[in-house]
Amino acid sequence: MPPDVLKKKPPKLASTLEDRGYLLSDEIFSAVENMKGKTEDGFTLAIEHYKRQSGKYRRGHIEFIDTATKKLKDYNLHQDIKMYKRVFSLFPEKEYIPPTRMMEEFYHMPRHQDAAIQILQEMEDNGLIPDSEIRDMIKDRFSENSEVMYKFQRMVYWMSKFANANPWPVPYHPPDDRIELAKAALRRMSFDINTKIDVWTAENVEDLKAEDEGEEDDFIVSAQSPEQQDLIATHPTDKPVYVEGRHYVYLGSARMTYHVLRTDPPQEGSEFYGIAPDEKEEEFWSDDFDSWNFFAAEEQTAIVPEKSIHEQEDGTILSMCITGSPSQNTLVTWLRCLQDTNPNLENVAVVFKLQEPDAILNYAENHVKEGGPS
Amino acid sequence: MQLLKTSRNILQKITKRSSLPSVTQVANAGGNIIIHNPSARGEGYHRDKEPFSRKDLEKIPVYLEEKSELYRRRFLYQDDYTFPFHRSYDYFWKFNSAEKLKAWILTTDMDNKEGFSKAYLSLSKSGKALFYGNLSTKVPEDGRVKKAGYCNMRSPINKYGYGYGKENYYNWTAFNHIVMRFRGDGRAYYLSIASDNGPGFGSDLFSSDLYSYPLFTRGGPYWQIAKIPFSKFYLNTYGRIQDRQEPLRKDFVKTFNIGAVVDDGPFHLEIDYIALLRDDNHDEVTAYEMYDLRM
Repeated sequence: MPPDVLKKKPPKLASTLEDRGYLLSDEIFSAVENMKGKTEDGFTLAIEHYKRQSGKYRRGHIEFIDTATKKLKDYNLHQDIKMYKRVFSLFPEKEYIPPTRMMEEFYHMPRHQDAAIQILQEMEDNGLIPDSEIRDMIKDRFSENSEVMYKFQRMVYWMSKFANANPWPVPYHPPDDRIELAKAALRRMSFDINTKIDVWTAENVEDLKAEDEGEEDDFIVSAQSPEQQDLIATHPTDKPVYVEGRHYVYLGSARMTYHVLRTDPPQEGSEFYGIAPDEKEEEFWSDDFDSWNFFAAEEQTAIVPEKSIHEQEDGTILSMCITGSPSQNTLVTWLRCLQDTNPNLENVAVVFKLQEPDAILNYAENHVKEGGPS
Repeated sequence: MQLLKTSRNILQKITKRSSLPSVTQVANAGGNIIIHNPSARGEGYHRDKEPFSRKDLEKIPVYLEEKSELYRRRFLYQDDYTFPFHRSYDYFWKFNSAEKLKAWILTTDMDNKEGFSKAYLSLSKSGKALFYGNLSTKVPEDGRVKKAGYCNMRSPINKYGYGYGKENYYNWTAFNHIVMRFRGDGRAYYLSIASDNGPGFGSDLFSSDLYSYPLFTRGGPYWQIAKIPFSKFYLNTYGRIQDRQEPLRKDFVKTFNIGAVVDDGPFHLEIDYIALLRDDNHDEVTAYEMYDLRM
């Protein structure tokens, strides 16, 4: 008597291959993609079709599992632990458990264990920590002393140690909304905890509406702290401010570009610098320790006001923004929006120093001689 | 620190006088941009080493002179790290000129034809090191390589101390933290220290051992400072973390590496300095469990 699964006819996936009675693992996935596209439903249908056509002995399941683990990223399911479990459950229960202790030692059923380890490796690469359900599945299928279980134990031990190592954590599932992404990135970039993040969309500002139909509306996400507003308010009108960019910033695997509003750093010799730091150090080391004593008084040369975080050595940062489109018109709109809270910006000359984010990279690539020792 | 500085300067003067090629002179051939420039044949990493030739024999008297000079000054350079105190520091590398960049070696997976990543190192606008490039996780279709995508910059090996042009280790026993000032793009980079556990140069038994820890960046125009204790660096071999961890041997440090991995796309990391710091409040040897529960 044939088992029940064989009584049911598998659904017609590909008419040309119908006569053969079975499909190869690649063919199953390509047939499914034609029917349902690269979706979760399609993936589960592929697994179910394979289960039905392979029957009792589940012939060729290692080849199918290898293909399915590779396909997970194509289907954008690589961050879903549920799907890994579904693939793992294709291994038959109790079949690969070594009967004796001696056989455990000698890598019992190596090809099957390799395929199972590959699934766990794929999880590790995508930052997924396996749970107790996977542990039970491994125990039922490969025993507690298998290489698969060791791999699982290593992953649970080490990955949970480093899961929270990042002091500026990244959302594991980054939001699809570009504005939310930009907000998170700007929040991460700004060192001043008082930074306020403003969002201007087409609802608030008319200039940001799309000119043609079918185009997306533009948006501006801008970050500025009260301290930076003070810096703009006291900015001398004869010195320009610069809009610089675009530069890349990553939030996990999501990539964005940002612009910076900045001025030149305060000049040396002005009240911001007492003595240049290098000079100070040299002065300190030029004396021998022998001649130094506790009673040598330090001479104070100037009262130096405390510098704010925004005064970096290569420029004072006044604001940052991430925009929907990198055009100069959007940046002008950004400045106009900033003028509401920074009235002094109207009196200051603004210079645009714009370049593509890949500009340096392209320059370097064009100046490399191909081949030959460096 | 005073002693530390003087003895090192003397060593540098000795090597200059004996017309040995210094670290910076060796890698002086390129242009202003330090380029990762793999040869078309994919020869691997150690292209800069030349085979032994007759010319090397001529250098022997120079080496002898240097060795005798070192012997005469042996008490001076022994003092290098004998007086460490709380908060004492030393710049391992301060990137402030093009000369300082040229000693570093860039490697990517393209070197051995195992990928398509490209990396460059050049002086940035603010006069610091800029490590940038394009990371590609595309796997070459040779049926052998499974994963691809890394770019790495490697520090030079210590050339001072032994004489005869023999490579020495860095001795970091006086310090317990690594401090970096940098400006990144929001990615995580990998710091790794190659350290010998005893066999020495020439032995490849432990050549793939690395002590690594990620360097997290925030992105944006602000400079960041990271202070990472050596105790947090974990032992890994061929990129695989090891079950049995061992604390880092700080007196046998060969090289210090900064690498970009994981995400596809262009990356840039601007580095001001890499420094070593002694903080007596931190007395941890390693952050990981050392006991063994196996039978």
